[in-house]
Amino acid sequence: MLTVADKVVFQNVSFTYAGDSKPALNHISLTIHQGETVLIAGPAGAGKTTLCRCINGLVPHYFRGHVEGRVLVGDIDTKVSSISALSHVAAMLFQDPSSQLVNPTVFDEIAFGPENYGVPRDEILVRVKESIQSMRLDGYEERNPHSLSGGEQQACGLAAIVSMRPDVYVLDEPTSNLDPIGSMRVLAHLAELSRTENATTIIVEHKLEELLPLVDRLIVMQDGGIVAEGEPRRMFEDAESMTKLGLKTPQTALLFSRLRRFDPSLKIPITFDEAVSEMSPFLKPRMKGDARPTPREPSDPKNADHGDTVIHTEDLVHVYEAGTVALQGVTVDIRKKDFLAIIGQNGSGKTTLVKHFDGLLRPTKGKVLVFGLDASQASIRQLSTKVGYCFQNPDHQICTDSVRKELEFGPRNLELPESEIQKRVDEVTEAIGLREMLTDNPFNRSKGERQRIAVASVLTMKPDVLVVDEPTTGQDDRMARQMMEFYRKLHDEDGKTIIVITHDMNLAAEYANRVFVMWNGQILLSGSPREVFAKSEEIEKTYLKAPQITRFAQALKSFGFPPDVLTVDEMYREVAKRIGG
Amino acid sequence: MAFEYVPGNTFFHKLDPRVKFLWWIVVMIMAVGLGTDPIYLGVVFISIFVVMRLANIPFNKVTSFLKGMAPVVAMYAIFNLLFPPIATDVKNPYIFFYLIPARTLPVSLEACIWTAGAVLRFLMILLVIRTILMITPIRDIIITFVKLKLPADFALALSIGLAYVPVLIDENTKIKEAQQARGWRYEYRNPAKRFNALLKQMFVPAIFNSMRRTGDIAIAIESRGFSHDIARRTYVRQLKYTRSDYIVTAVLLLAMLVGLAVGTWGLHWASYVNVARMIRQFLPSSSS
Repeated sequence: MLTVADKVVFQNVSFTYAGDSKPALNHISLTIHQGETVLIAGPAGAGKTTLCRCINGLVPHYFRGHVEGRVLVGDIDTKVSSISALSHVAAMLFQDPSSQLVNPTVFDEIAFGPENYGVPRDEILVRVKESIQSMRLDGYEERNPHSLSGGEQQACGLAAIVSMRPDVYVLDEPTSNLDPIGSMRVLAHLAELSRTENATTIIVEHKLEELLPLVDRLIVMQDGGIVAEGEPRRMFEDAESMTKLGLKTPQTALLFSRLRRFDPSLKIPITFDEAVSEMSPFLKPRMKGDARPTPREPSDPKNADHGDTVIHTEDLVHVYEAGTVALQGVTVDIRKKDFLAIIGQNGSGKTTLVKHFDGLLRPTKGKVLVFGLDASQASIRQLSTKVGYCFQNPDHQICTDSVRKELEFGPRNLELPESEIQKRVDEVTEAIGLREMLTDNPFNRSKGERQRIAVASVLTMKPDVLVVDEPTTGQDDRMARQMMEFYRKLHDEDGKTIIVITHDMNLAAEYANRVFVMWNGQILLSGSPREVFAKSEEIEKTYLKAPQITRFAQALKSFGFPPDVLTVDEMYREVAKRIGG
Repeated sequence: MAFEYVPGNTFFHKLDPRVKFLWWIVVMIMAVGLGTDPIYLGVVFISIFVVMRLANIPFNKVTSFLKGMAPVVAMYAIFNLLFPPIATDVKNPYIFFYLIPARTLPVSLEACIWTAGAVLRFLMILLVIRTILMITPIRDIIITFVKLKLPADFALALSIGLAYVPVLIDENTKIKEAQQARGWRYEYRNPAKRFNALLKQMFVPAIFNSMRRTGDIAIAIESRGFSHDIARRTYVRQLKYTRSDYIVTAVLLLAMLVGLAVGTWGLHWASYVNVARMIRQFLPSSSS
């Protein structure tokens, strides 16, 4: 029944975690062949990670629960094998690189797997050397993996499983902590692996734009089941239903599916280059409308319409104790009506900059004024009523056993009268919709909810400025948009100044009204999203990428498209205008 | 930080970690086995500083370490000063003063000299450990444990623990900052108040996070075959005894023998009792 070519087989598998009532996997039947590269996508909570865990035996040997059906890896039944035996065949890379790097040096990290399997010493030395070269980690052999940057950590984690020479690679969001170019690098390594080693690769990712051209098959999961499956090109023929399934459809694919109104036979491109080369033959015979770029309202260079300055830094320099120069002379004005997105590569100084706004860091040199207050003199407590700071990981922040206590925590620290505390808790509860969970233990809520609780507990401090550090990392598109909508509401309706640090260029383009591009401890570009993303060449120098649709419009500038298109809607209107639709 | 490797290429860096370990054992034996004769201990003490100097260890790292240890050393000193086990050796100690009137808790010359020796002994053991950790990468320490037939899983667990120290420090800093950003204060003068604040607000997230971390690490190492067959595991890092290792081993063993011999039979004049007697000649006679 089982042929050699069938590498991973799920036979009607259901799994319910011990203590849960709802199954995480629901009657999954799936066959993955030797040498195939499969992408698993779908919204958070769809069961993608659980599916991965089944393959190397973490389910049911580490995560216990009720299992039905059979999972076969090669000819091994995972139920009767062990995690370590299965991992030799099917190695797994996890989402958070820092929690899987367990050795004192990069060299030991990469040797760790083969050492455990008793591979001869000489063979291990060869493998480690190869892995280090192919992941471009030369010179890092004796460094502590935790001292590497996010991208290097991910490369090290990948090198550490490549050296195990498994038949199957299972990769659970291998690029979620990375900036666009870093992700591209890791994904390119993966593509090369599956080509050169004929390995079977199973990837869970939200970043479809980069991955679709690299995979043989796309599997979409929802509520523990497989809802769609097939060759990516064929599946994106219906790009809109893919989006409805919660996928982050590439912007050009969305555009083309809408342009089918004009030409039902239009093929949906899945790569950027395809999109560009297919656009010309579509446009050329139809061009009759207005080819001039839509005039833009002139943007005020001084941002005067953004209101008063709330935060001002002057020649701000920060040098960490270890001697790293994290900021080298930053001068900025942040204004009342800013919805500011700060983008930049890992380690470019984004977090260091914003930590000066509420006194968590003090300037090594230069000045920071927060509402006219000298931030190097004021206490963190004083500043915390002006600038609220939401950390990336809500679990670093939540410190009480009920949502209500969590919301009261800040105002209590400020020693406000009890009536004021209760008033604030009520207001925030109402605004964020936490009413029904007020008495719950925050640690029992989902990650998305914990994130909202963490934000709410900062809002009860009534800050005028809200700083949010990577609020959408590792979330699916729908959740990310919900979070951003929420900040937009705080900005538009409650008049808060919002500062968001993000890796997601599409969200920055859509939601922000001002963008800083940081590079090497300096602000390289600043302006409205249009002004900034129009300079996509300069952006690429900082290892970032403007949104796909922006680059698409720029690639077609011979048709008169403006270089600062930000959304699919806008691009659709530009095209429609030109073909007279 | 307690585990800080200072990279270098000196003779001492390059020694086999087992030799470094032997150095520690020898110092222990010499320090503990020979009572607290200040002159004798002083000689061994200086030899440690010579090694530090030759291994190019930055002196500020040593002083910052000593500063960190100061409270412990001070307690140790006070304890020795007030309760020296000298009654059997010295019938008539030279008393400086009584801590509590009515002739209780005397502070005597003999106790001072005894304490000086005891503190030297204590510092020596600490400094040798500190020096070894500064000239030996963590992975070599682990291999030493394995070679010394400690259980492999114990040695690896230790290695993972040490590799995680910076991560945990980083995590706790984040937790602290997240609380401070909501107006939380812990910089109270009163240590009880400070402790209480730290405990309450750091404890919950720190425990939650370390539990999650522990789970993640268990999954990660299992997924890399950790418990596959520990007995037949390969160790890529190997230790090789070189000629200089043999020479240093011989020197250390010889030093220990000579030291023990001299300390036991030859150097009686240097015992704290005799040193005290010598000093007493220059002091006015005791009031008691």
